[in-house]
Amino acid sequence: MRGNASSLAVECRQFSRYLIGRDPSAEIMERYARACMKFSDDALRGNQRAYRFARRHPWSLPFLDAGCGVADGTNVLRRRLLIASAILETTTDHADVFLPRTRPLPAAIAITLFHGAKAALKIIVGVPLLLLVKTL
Amino acid sequence: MIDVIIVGSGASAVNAAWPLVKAGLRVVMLDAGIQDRRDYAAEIPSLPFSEIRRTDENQHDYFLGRDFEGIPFGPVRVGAQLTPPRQYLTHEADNLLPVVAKQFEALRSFARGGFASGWGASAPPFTDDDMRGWPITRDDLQPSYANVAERIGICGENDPELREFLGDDLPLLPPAKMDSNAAHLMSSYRARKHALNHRGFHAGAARLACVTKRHRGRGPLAYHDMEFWADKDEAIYRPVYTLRELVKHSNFEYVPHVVVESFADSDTHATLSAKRLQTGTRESFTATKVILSTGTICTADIVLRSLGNARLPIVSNPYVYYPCFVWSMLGRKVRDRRHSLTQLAIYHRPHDPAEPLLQAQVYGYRSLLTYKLLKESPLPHRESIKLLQLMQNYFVIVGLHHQDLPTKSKIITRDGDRISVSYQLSTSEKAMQARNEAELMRNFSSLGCRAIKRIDPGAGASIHYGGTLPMTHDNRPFTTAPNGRLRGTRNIHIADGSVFPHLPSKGLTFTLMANADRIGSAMADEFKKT
Ligand SMILES: Cc1cc2nc3c(=O)[nH]c(=O)nc-3n(C[C@H](O)[C@H](O)[C@H](O)COP(=O)(O)OP(=O)(O)OC[C@H]3O[C@@H](n4cnc5c(N)ncnc54)[C@H](O)[C@@H]3O)c2cc1C
Repeated sequence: MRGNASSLAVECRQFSRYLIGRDPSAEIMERYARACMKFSDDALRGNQRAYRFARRHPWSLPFLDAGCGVADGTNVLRRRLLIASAILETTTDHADVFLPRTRPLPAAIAITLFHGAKAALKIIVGVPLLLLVKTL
Repeated sequence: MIDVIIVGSGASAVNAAWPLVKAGLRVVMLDAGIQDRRDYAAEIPSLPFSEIRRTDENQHDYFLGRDFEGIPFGPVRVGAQLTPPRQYLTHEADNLLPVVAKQFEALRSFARGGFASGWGASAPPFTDDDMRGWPITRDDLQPSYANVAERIGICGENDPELREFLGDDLPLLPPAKMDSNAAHLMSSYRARKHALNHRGFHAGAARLACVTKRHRGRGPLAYHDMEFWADKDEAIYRPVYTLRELVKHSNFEYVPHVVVESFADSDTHATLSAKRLQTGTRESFTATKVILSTGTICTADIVLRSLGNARLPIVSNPYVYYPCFVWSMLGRKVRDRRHSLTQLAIYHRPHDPAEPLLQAQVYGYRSLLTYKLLKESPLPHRESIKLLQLMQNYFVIVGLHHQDLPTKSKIITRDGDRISVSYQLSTSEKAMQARNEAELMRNFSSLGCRAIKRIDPGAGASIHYGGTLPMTHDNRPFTTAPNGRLRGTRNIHIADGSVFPHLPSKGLTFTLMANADRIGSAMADEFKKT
């Protein structure tokens, strides 16, 4: 199914805010829409429930992404997030978020523990939520 | 009449052509010769990776591809390193030579320069041990190894410790500088060297077909970490550089856009039937001798079309990757300037002396971009991005090539208009590989790094193919004599992976080039005599 360009632009903004905490430029949104249209007939086919739910209820996006990560890695939602990440990564605006960064060891350990714990919490909520959404 | 027609323009073909052209013979090179119509290379600035990422507004064009062909969705498969600027290497292959393959990736290249236009340039020579059972020895290859090393530029060390794995007698350029992880692993190795060597584990600088100082108008290596995308410094060897030198000779002609289908052989000459790619018209070409260097799978097709169908053996190094995290580097600063190819080579003699050497290569990852790692991570994307930003500097990829021997379950044949490959490893081959791999990875982990997962991209994924028309002293059909002559013919020679009876656990391409040079040199001598 082809999402129209304006709804894909809104989707790109939602995903970008979730992924890197920043708004995308108009150019990035246009590129995202083009990529989704390109892949709509093959890679983006499949069960759309988690994706549609996350679009309608933006609060659920981090949890459903986490749930899919462990329970359904090739879900359409993960694939759309992969496209958004790839497009955000290959821009000068957001290169700093993706280029590797060195931190002193104590900071590195603290950051790892913090994000590891956040990921675990999201997974704990996300897996049952995903199962629920898939039965809706 | 033309003296020699060489078919193909890959690593094998151009190195077979060189001694013939230098001997003054009239040589014509017929080649499918597909080029990158999208010309991504022209767009890529000659800057280090990190600077490109920060400054080039057009980077999405070549990093993702204009049709987003660089965004992968499925599991890691064959040719994961074939980035959008390199994907033309397999263009038209499905049309020009369809393949049906059960559980096997049979990649074919119809590109100018063949696969080595995008190869990883790891160039270890074979030893007598690697060529056990072959009708030629390292001594037979030695002059050609030296010729090719000089022609293409090989960097590395003649390290006495690695002598039993590489020999120590080739002209080498200075080794490429290791990246910070490899340097750290190497110093960790030196600290435990005695115990590790005792367990059969050895490490050292990689041998790369790369010019670390100016050599024959190329290089030096700029350490831009862009080797998977472009060749701005021309440091990594590509066959088109030799082709560029060959076309300067008036006795050499390069004829692209021609696909050879079959040959006919007579007492005095050979004739090739071919098709022009642009017009579809058929044409024939005659020469005193022909050398087929079209890559193992395409050569099998031409031979089977010409001599009649048969079931030929095929071998391909089973390949696996281990993404590893060098935890002992966490928190340390890493050098930004680096190259993207093999940083460190590992040679492992398994505990059981009857089992073959296992060789592994250690690469950095950074320039293949974070989003491909995100796909492999089970964590939510947001946290993955944060964690990868922190840890990516300390990722290395260990790639292992297992030896491959021919068996009855590894067969290539023609099936109607297609090539058909069926390939299966036996239970005992799989068990031996698992055992040796586990031994190697255990020793590797003791250097201060941890394997995160094992990725098996499937049989054939090494893109190292051989064994179809093996060199042997026995006069059997569908084999080749040690000088490359195809048995049952007088004037058809083969110079590519087809003639390697098996594949040891090493990159084969340096030896492909040396063997092609050897076959070309012997043919030039024969012409001189007659
Ligand atoms: C991503 C990647 C990384 C690699 N890394 C390494 C490495 O680090 N070390 C290593 O040793 N090896 C490596 N390899 C393998 C290496 O590239 C190949 O072994 C080598 O390039 C084979 O060279 P070739 O000339 O024998 O055949 P090919 O490269 O397959 O060339 C075939 C040539 O024949 C032409 N041709 C084919 N059919 C016809 C026809 N019918 N008519 C006319 N022309 C035809 C094509 O146009 C092409 O020019 C790698 C390969 C890939 C893809």
